[in-house]
Amino acid sequence: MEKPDYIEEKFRQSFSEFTVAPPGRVWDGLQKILHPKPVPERFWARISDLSWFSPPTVKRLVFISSATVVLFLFLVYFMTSNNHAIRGHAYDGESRLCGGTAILYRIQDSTVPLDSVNHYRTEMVDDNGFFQFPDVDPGRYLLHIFPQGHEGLDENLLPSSFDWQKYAEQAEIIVISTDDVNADVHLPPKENLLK
Amino acid sequence: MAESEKKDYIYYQNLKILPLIDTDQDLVARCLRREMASQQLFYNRFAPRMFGICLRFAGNSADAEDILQEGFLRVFAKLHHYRGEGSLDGWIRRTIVTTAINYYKKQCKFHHEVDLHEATYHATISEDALSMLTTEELLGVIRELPTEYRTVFNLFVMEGYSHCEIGGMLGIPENTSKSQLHRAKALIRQKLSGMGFTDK
Repeated sequence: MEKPDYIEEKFRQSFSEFTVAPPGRVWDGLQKILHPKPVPERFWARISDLSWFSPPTVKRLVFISSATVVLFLFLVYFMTSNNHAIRGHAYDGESRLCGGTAILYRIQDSTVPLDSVNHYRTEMVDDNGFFQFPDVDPGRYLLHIFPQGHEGLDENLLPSSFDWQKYAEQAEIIVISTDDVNADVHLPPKENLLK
Repeated sequence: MAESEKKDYIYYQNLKILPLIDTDQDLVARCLRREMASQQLFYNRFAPRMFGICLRFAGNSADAEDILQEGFLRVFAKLHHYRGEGSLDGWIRRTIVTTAINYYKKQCKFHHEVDLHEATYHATISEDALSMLTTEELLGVIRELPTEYRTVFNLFVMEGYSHCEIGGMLGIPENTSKSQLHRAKALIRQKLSGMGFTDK
Protein backbone atom coordinates (compact mmCIF):
# COMPACT_ATOMS: atom_id res chain seq x y z
CA MET A 1 0.00 0.00 0.00
CA GLU A 2 1.26 3.43 -0.95
CA LYS A 3 2.50 5.50 1.98
CA PRO A 4 0.40 8.69 2.38
CA ASP A 5 2.14 11.84 1.33
CA TYR A 6 2.88 13.75 4.55
CA ILE A 7 2.66 17.10 2.75
CA GLU A 8 -0.89 16.23 1.65
CA GLU A 9 -1.68 15.12 5.18
CA LYS A 10 -0.37 18.36 6.59
CA PHE A 11 -2.56 20.37 4.23
CA ARG A 12 -5.62 18.23 4.98
CA GLN A 13 -5.18 18.55 8.72
CA SER A 14 -4.50 22.27 8.63
CA PHE A 15 -7.52 23.10 6.51
CA SER A 16 -10.01 20.59 7.94
CA GLU A 17 -11.40 23.12 10.42
CA PHE A 18 -10.23 26.25 8.62
CA THR A 19 -12.76 29.05 9.02
CA VAL A 20 -12.44 32.74 8.27
CA ALA A 21 -15.13 35.31 8.90
CA PRO A 22 -15.90 36.95 5.57
CA PRO A 23 -15.99 40.76 5.43
CA GLY A 24 -19.39 42.34 6.07
CA ARG A 25 -19.57 43.71 2.54
CA VAL A 26 -20.15 40.18 1.19
CA TRP A 27 -23.40 39.85 3.13
CA ASP A 28 -24.33 43.44 2.31
CA GLY A 29 -23.93 42.72 -1.40
CA LEU A 30 -25.79 39.44 -1.07
CA GLN A 31 -28.63 41.09 0.80
CA LYS A 32 -28.99 43.76 -1.88
CA ILE A 33 -29.35 41.07 -4.54
CA LEU A 34 -31.66 38.84 -2.50
CA HIS A 35 -33.86 41.68 -1.28
CA PRO A 36 -33.50 44.60 -3.67
CA LYS A 37 -35.15 47.83 -2.62
CA PRO A 38 -38.22 48.59 -4.72
CA VAL A 39 -37.38 51.14 -7.36
CA PRO A 40 -39.97 53.89 -7.87
CA GLU A 41 -41.91 53.17 -11.00
CA ARG A 42 -40.63 55.22 -13.87
CA PHE A 43 -42.83 57.40 -16.00
CA TRP A 44 -42.06 55.31 -19.04
CA ALA A 45 -42.99 52.09 -17.23
CA ARG A 46 -46.36 53.55 -16.35
CA ILE A 47 -47.00 54.62 -19.94
CA SER A 48 -45.95 51.30 -21.39
CA ASP A 49 -48.24 49.41 -19.01
CA LEU A 50 -51.29 50.87 -20.69
CA SER A 51 -53.34 48.01 -22.03
CA TRP A 52 -54.15 49.63 -25.35
CA PHE A 53 -50.54 49.37 -26.44
CA SER A 54 -49.36 45.87 -26.96
CA PRO A 55 -45.85 44.78 -27.90
CA PRO A 56 -43.26 46.97 -26.12
CA THR A 57 -41.62 48.13 -29.34
CA VAL A 58 -44.98 49.32 -30.72
CA LYS A 59 -45.75 51.05 -27.46
CA ARG A 60 -42.49 52.95 -27.59
CA LEU A 61 -42.84 53.79 -31.24
CA VAL A 62 -46.35 55.15 -30.79
CA PHE A 63 -45.39 57.15 -27.73
CA ILE A 64 -42.25 58.65 -29.26
CA SER A 65 -43.95 59.54 -32.56
CA SER A 66 -46.92 61.12 -30.76
CA ALA A 67 -44.63 63.17 -28.57
CA THR A 68 -42.63 64.27 -31.62
CA VAL A 69 -45.75 65.37 -33.51
CA VAL A 70 -47.06 67.35 -30.53
CA LEU A 71 -43.69 69.02 -30.03
CA PHE A 72 -43.46 69.85 -33.72
CA LEU A 73 -46.93 71.43 -33.74
CA PHE A 74 -46.05 73.54 -30.71
CA LEU A 75 -42.88 74.74 -32.39
CA VAL A 76 -44.70 75.53 -35.63
CA TYR A 77 -47.38 77.46 -33.75
CA PHE A 78 -44.94 79.58 -31.80
CA MET A 79 -42.60 80.17 -34.73
CA THR A 80 -45.32 81.24 -37.15
CA SER A 81 -47.50 83.24 -34.78
CA ASN A 82 -47.18 87.03 -35.38
CA ASN A 83 -49.60 87.97 -32.63
CA HIS A 84 -48.39 90.42 -30.03
CA ALA A 85 -49.69 92.30 -27.05
CA ILE A 86 -50.67 95.90 -26.54
CA ARG A 87 -50.21 97.01 -22.97
CA GLY A 88 -49.74 100.20 -21.05
CA HIS A 89 -51.02 102.48 -18.33
CA ALA A 90 -53.76 105.02 -18.45
CA TYR A 91 -52.99 108.32 -16.74
CA ASP A 92 -55.17 110.97 -15.27
CA GLY A 93 -52.93 113.80 -16.37
CA GLU A 94 -49.62 112.73 -14.84
CA SER A 95 -50.86 110.24 -12.20
CA ARG A 96 -52.24 106.80 -12.92
CA LEU A 97 -55.90 106.24 -13.54
CA CYS A 98 -57.83 104.17 -11.00
CA GLY A 99 -59.87 101.90 -13.20
CA GLY A 100 -61.73 102.16 -16.46
CA THR A 101 -62.29 100.45 -19.74
CA ALA A 102 -59.90 100.14 -22.65
CA ILE A 103 -61.37 99.53 -26.08
CA LEU A 104 -59.36 98.51 -29.09
CA TYR A 105 -60.62 99.29 -32.59
CA ARG A 106 -59.20 97.72 -35.69
CA ILE A 107 -58.71 99.94 -38.72
CA GLN A 108 -59.99 98.09 -41.77
CA ASP A 109 -58.31 100.26 -44.37
CA SER A 110 -56.14 103.31 -44.55
CA THR A 111 -58.91 105.84 -45.25
CA VAL A 112 -58.98 108.96 -43.17
CA PRO A 113 -61.17 110.00 -41.39
CA LEU A 114 -61.18 106.73 -39.55
CA ASP A 115 -64.82 105.82 -39.93
CA SER A 116 -64.08 102.31 -41.02
CA VAL A 117 -62.87 101.10 -37.60
CA ASN A 118 -64.40 97.97 -36.07
CA HIS A 119 -64.53 97.09 -32.44
CA TYR A 120 -61.82 94.50 -31.82
CA ARG A 121 -61.71 93.85 -28.09
CA THR A 122 -62.48 95.40 -24.71
CA GLU A 123 -60.33 95.01 -21.58
CA MET A 124 -60.56 96.41 -18.07
CA VAL A 125 -58.13 99.03 -16.79
CA ASP A 126 -57.15 97.91 -13.28
CA ASP A 127 -56.74 100.03 -10.13
CA ASN A 128 -53.13 100.75 -11.07
CA GLY A 129 -54.19 102.07 -14.44
CA PHE A 130 -52.78 99.04 -16.21
CA PHE A 131 -54.42 97.45 -19.20
CA GLN A 132 -53.38 94.75 -21.61
CA PHE A 133 -54.63 93.21 -24.86
CA PRO A 134 -52.81 89.92 -25.29
CA ASP A 135 -52.48 88.03 -28.57
CA VAL A 136 -53.48 90.82 -30.90
CA ASP A 137 -53.45 90.05 -34.63
CA PRO A 138 -51.10 92.03 -36.83
CA GLY A 139 -52.72 95.22 -38.11
CA ARG A 140 -53.50 98.85 -37.32
CA TYR A 141 -55.48 99.83 -34.22
CA LEU A 142 -56.90 102.71 -32.30
CA LEU A 143 -57.07 102.64 -28.53
CA HIS A 144 -59.82 104.31 -26.58
CA ILE A 145 -59.91 104.71 -22.78
CA PHE A 146 -63.06 105.42 -20.78
CA PRO A 147 -62.47 106.35 -17.17
CA GLN A 148 -64.98 104.67 -14.86
CA GLY A 149 -65.68 103.56 -11.38
CA HIS A 150 -64.51 106.56 -9.41
CA GLU A 151 -66.68 109.38 -8.31
CA GLY A 152 -66.09 112.52 -10.24
CA LEU A 153 -63.40 111.07 -12.39
CA ASP A 154 -65.51 110.58 -15.47
CA GLU A 155 -66.70 114.16 -15.15
CA ASN A 156 -63.25 115.66 -15.08
CA LEU A 157 -61.69 113.53 -17.74
CA LEU A 158 -62.81 112.90 -21.25
CA PRO A 159 -62.59 109.57 -22.96
CA SER A 160 -59.45 109.65 -24.95
CA SER A 161 -57.84 108.00 -27.91
CA PHE A 162 -54.22 107.05 -27.79
CA ASP A 163 -52.22 109.67 -25.92
CA TRP A 164 -53.80 112.99 -25.09
CA GLN A 165 -56.15 113.00 -28.04
CA LYS A 166 -59.86 113.28 -27.67
CA TYR A 167 -60.74 112.62 -31.28
CA ALA A 168 -59.99 109.50 -33.21
CA GLU A 169 -58.81 111.48 -36.22
CA GLN A 170 -56.01 112.95 -34.13
CA ALA A 171 -55.08 109.74 -32.37
CA GLU A 172 -51.86 107.92 -32.96
CA ILE A 173 -52.36 104.63 -34.77
CA ILE A 174 -50.96 101.56 -33.12
CA VAL A 175 -49.36 99.16 -35.55
CA ILE A 176 -48.86 95.54 -34.59
CA SER A 177 -46.26 93.79 -36.72
CA THR A 178 -43.20 92.28 -35.08
CA ASP A 179 -43.18 93.38 -31.44
CA ASP A 180 -45.39 94.07 -28.46
CA VAL A 181 -46.49 97.68 -28.14
CA ASN A 182 -46.40 99.82 -25.05
CA ALA A 183 -49.23 102.32 -25.29
CA ASP A 184 -49.53 104.68 -22.35
CA VAL A 185 -52.62 106.86 -22.53
CA HIS A 186 -52.82 110.28 -20.90
CA LEU A 187 -56.42 111.36 -20.58
CA PRO A 188 -56.95 115.04 -21.24
CA PRO A 189 -58.89 116.89 -18.51
CA LYS A 190 -62.23 118.03 -19.77
CA GLU A 191 -61.68 121.71 -19.10
CA ASN A 192 -58.48 121.78 -21.14
CA LEU A 193 -60.25 120.35 -24.11
CA LEU A 194 -63.11 122.75 -23.84
CA LYS A 195 -60.86 125.69 -24.17
CA MET B 1 -23.45 28.84 26.14
CA ALA B 2 -21.63 27.01 23.36
CA GLU B 3 -19.73 29.05 20.80
CA SER B 4 -21.83 27.69 17.92
CA GLU B 5 -25.06 28.73 19.66
CA LYS B 6 -23.80 32.28 20.11
CA LYS B 7 -23.43 32.62 16.36
CA ASP B 8 -27.14 31.95 15.91
CA TYR B 9 -28.10 35.23 17.50
CA ILE B 10 -29.04 38.09 15.27
CA TYR B 11 -28.44 41.61 16.44
CA TYR B 12 -30.93 44.18 15.27
CA GLN B 13 -30.55 47.77 16.56
CA ASN B 14 -28.67 46.44 19.60
CA LEU B 15 -31.45 43.97 20.37
CA LYS B 16 -30.42 40.34 20.62
CA ILE B 17 -32.87 38.10 18.82
CA LEU B 18 -32.77 34.32 19.01
CA PRO B 19 -34.87 32.85 16.24
CA LEU B 20 -36.69 29.65 17.12
CA ILE B 21 -34.87 27.46 14.68
CA ASP B 22 -33.97 23.99 15.85
CA THR B 23 -32.73 22.08 12.86
CA ASP B 24 -31.06 22.68 9.50
CA GLN B 25 -34.29 21.56 7.87
CA ASP B 26 -36.20 24.24 9.77
CA LEU B 27 -33.64 26.85 8.75
CA VAL B 28 -33.87 25.76 5.12
CA ALA B 29 -37.67 25.97 5.24
CA ARG B 30 -37.50 29.50 6.58
CA CYS B 31 -34.93 30.51 3.96
CA LEU B 32 -37.19 29.11 1.27
CA ARG B 33 -39.84 31.53 2.52
CA ARG B 34 -37.27 34.26 1.81
CA GLU B 35 -37.19 35.44 5.42
CA MET B 36 -34.26 37.82 5.55
CA ALA B 37 -33.43 37.10 9.20
CA SER B 38 -33.27 33.38 8.49
CA GLN B 39 -31.13 33.91 5.43
CA GLN B 40 -28.76 35.97 7.54
CA LEU B 41 -28.69 33.26 10.19
CA PHE B 42 -28.00 30.67 7.49
CA TYR B 43 -25.21 32.82 6.09
CA ASN B 44 -23.70 33.53 9.51
CA ARG B 45 -23.69 29.82 10.29
CA PHE B 46 -22.03 28.57 7.12
CA ALA B 47 -20.15 31.50 5.59
CA PRO B 48 -16.96 31.35 7.71
CA ARG B 49 -16.30 27.74 6.77
CA MET B 50 -17.17 28.34 3.13
CA PHE B 51 -15.01 31.45 2.99
CA GLY B 52 -12.08 29.27 4.12
CA ILE B 53 -12.74 27.04 1.10
CA CYS B 54 -13.04 30.04 -1.20
CA LEU B 55 -9.71 31.40 0.05
CA ARG B 56 -8.05 28.09 -0.86
CA PHE B 57 -9.51 28.07 -4.36
CA ALA B 58 -9.00 31.78 -5.06
CA GLY B 59 -5.79 33.50 -5.99
CA ASN B 60 -6.63 36.51 -3.82
CA SER B 61 -9.13 37.68 -1.21
CA ALA B 62 -11.19 39.73 -3.65
CA ASP B 63 -11.78 36.67 -5.83
CA ALA B 64 -12.61 34.66 -2.71
CA GLU B 65 -15.26 37.21 -1.73
CA ASP B 66 -16.73 37.10 -5.23
CA ILE B 67 -16.86 33.32 -5.18
CA LEU B 68 -18.47 33.31 -1.74
CA GLN B 69 -21.13 35.79 -2.79
CA GLU B 70 -21.82 34.02 -6.06
CA GLY B 71 -21.83 30.69 -4.26
CA PHE B 72 -24.35 31.77 -1.65
CA LEU B 73 -26.57 33.25 -4.33
CA ARG B 74 -26.50 29.86 -6.00
CA VAL B 75 -27.16 28.15 -2.67
CA PHE B 76 -30.22 30.30 -1.97
CA ALA B 77 -31.46 29.87 -5.53
CA LYS B 78 -31.15 26.08 -5.43
CA LEU B 79 -32.04 25.51 -1.82
CA HIS B 80 -35.27 23.79 -2.80
CA HIS B 81 -33.13 20.99 -4.29
CA TYR B 82 -31.83 20.11 -0.83
CA ARG B 83 -33.97 17.21 0.38
CA GLY B 84 -32.45 16.84 3.80
CA GLU B 85 -30.54 13.75 2.77
CA GLY B 86 -26.94 14.16 3.87
CA SER B 87 -25.51 17.10 5.72
CA LEU B 88 -26.47 20.62 4.74
CA ASP B 89 -22.86 21.65 5.25
CA GLY B 90 -21.71 19.10 2.66
CA TRP B 91 -24.36 20.21 0.18
CA ILE B 92 -23.38 23.87 0.53
CA ARG B 93 -19.71 22.94 0.31
CA ARG B 94 -20.25 21.15 -3.01
CA THR B 95 -22.14 24.16 -4.36
CA ILE B 96 -19.36 26.52 -3.31
CA VAL B 97 -16.70 24.29 -4.86
CA THR B 98 -18.68 24.13 -8.11
CA THR B 99 -18.99 27.91 -8.07
CA ALA B 100 -15.24 28.26 -7.55
CA ILE B 101 -14.53 25.93 -10.45
CA ASN B 102 -16.94 27.80 -12.73
CA TYR B 103 -15.42 31.10 -11.64
CA TYR B 104 -11.97 30.05 -12.84
CA LYS B 105 -13.24 28.09 -15.83
CA LYS B 106 -14.31 31.42 -17.29
CA GLN B 107 -10.79 32.75 -16.90
CA CYS B 108 -8.47 29.90 -17.82
CA LYS B 109 -8.36 26.55 -19.51
CA PHE B 110 -7.42 23.45 -17.61
CA HIS B 111 -5.96 21.63 -20.62
CA HIS B 112 -2.35 22.28 -19.84
CA GLU B 113 -0.56 18.96 -20.47
CA VAL B 114 2.60 18.43 -18.44
CA ASP B 115 5.16 15.68 -18.75
CA LEU B 116 5.24 13.89 -15.41
CA HIS B 117 9.00 13.87 -15.30
CA GLU B 118 9.30 17.51 -16.26
CA ALA B 119 7.57 18.60 -13.07
CA THR B 120 9.47 16.52 -10.61
CA TYR B 121 11.21 18.41 -7.85
CA HIS B 122 13.52 16.24 -5.80
CA ALA B 123 14.08 18.22 -2.64
CA THR B 124 12.97 16.40 0.49
CA ILE B 125 10.90 18.42 2.86
CA SER B 126 11.48 17.91 6.55
CA GLU B 127 8.31 16.55 8.20
CA ASP B 128 9.19 18.17 11.53
CA ALA B 129 9.81 21.53 9.96
CA LEU B 130 6.58 21.20 8.01
CA SER B 131 4.60 20.69 11.20
CA MET B 132 5.73 24.16 12.33
CA LEU B 133 3.95 25.82 9.42
CA THR B 134 0.75 27.69 10.23
CA THR B 135 -2.43 27.41 8.20
CA GLU B 136 -1.98 30.99 6.96
CA GLU B 137 1.51 30.13 5.65
CA LEU B 138 0.17 27.03 3.91
CA LEU B 139 -2.63 29.13 2.43
CA GLY B 140 -0.01 31.51 1.08
CA VAL B 141 1.77 28.58 -0.59
CA ILE B 142 -1.43 27.29 -2.19
CA ARG B 143 -2.42 30.70 -3.45
CA GLU B 144 0.89 31.13 -5.23
CA LEU B 145 0.17 28.07 -7.38
CA PRO B 146 -1.11 28.60 -10.91
CA THR B 147 -4.90 28.39 -11.05
CA GLU B 148 -5.04 24.99 -12.79
CA TYR B 149 -2.69 23.35 -10.30
CA ARG B 150 -4.32 25.01 -7.32
CA THR B 151 -7.76 23.83 -8.42
CA VAL B 152 -6.71 20.22 -8.98
CA PHE B 153 -4.73 20.19 -5.72
CA ASN B 154 -7.72 21.51 -3.80
CA LEU B 155 -10.14 19.06 -5.39
CA PHE B 156 -7.92 16.02 -4.91
CA VAL B 157 -6.20 16.70 -1.61
CA MET B 158 -8.73 18.81 0.29
CA GLU B 159 -12.08 17.79 -1.17
CA GLY B 160 -11.23 14.13 -1.75
CA TYR B 161 -12.35 13.82 -5.36
CA SER B 162 -10.76 11.19 -7.59
CA HIS B 163 -8.86 12.09 -10.75
CA CYS B 164 -11.72 10.65 -12.76
CA GLU B 165 -14.22 12.95 -11.01
CA ILE B 166 -11.89 15.94 -11.32
CA GLY B 167 -11.51 15.25 -15.03
CA GLY B 168 -15.29 15.32 -15.36
CA MET B 169 -15.65 18.50 -13.32
CA LEU B 170 -12.94 20.44 -15.13
CA GLY B 171 -13.48 18.90 -18.55
CA ILE B 172 -9.97 17.51 -18.79
CA PRO B 173 -8.58 13.99 -19.27
CA GLU B 174 -7.84 12.01 -16.13
CA ASN B 175 -4.12 11.98 -16.91
CA THR B 176 -4.07 15.75 -17.15
CA SER B 177 -5.54 15.91 -13.67
CA LYS B 178 -2.83 13.56 -12.44
CA SER B 179 -0.07 15.51 -14.08
CA GLN B 180 -1.39 18.81 -12.75
CA LEU B 181 -1.55 17.41 -9.22
CA HIS B 182 1.99 16.11 -9.61
CA ARG B 183 3.21 19.47 -10.78
CA ALA B 184 1.28 21.27 -8.04
CA LYS B 185 2.96 19.15 -5.39
CA ALA B 186 6.36 19.66 -7.00
CA LEU B 187 5.80 23.41 -6.92
CA ILE B 188 4.71 23.23 -3.30
CA ARG B 189 7.89 21.33 -2.43
CA GLN B 190 9.88 23.90 -4.32
CA LYS B 191 8.23 26.75 -2.45
CA LEU B 192 8.60 25.06 0.93
CA SER B 193 12.23 24.36 0.10
CA GLY B 194 12.64 28.02 -0.69
CA MET B 195 11.20 28.79 2.73
CA GLY B 196 13.93 26.62 4.33
CA PHE B 197 11.95 23.47 5.13
CA THR B 198 14.32 21.00 3.41
CA ASP B 199 16.03 18.16 5.21
CA LYS B 200 19.54 19.13 6.25
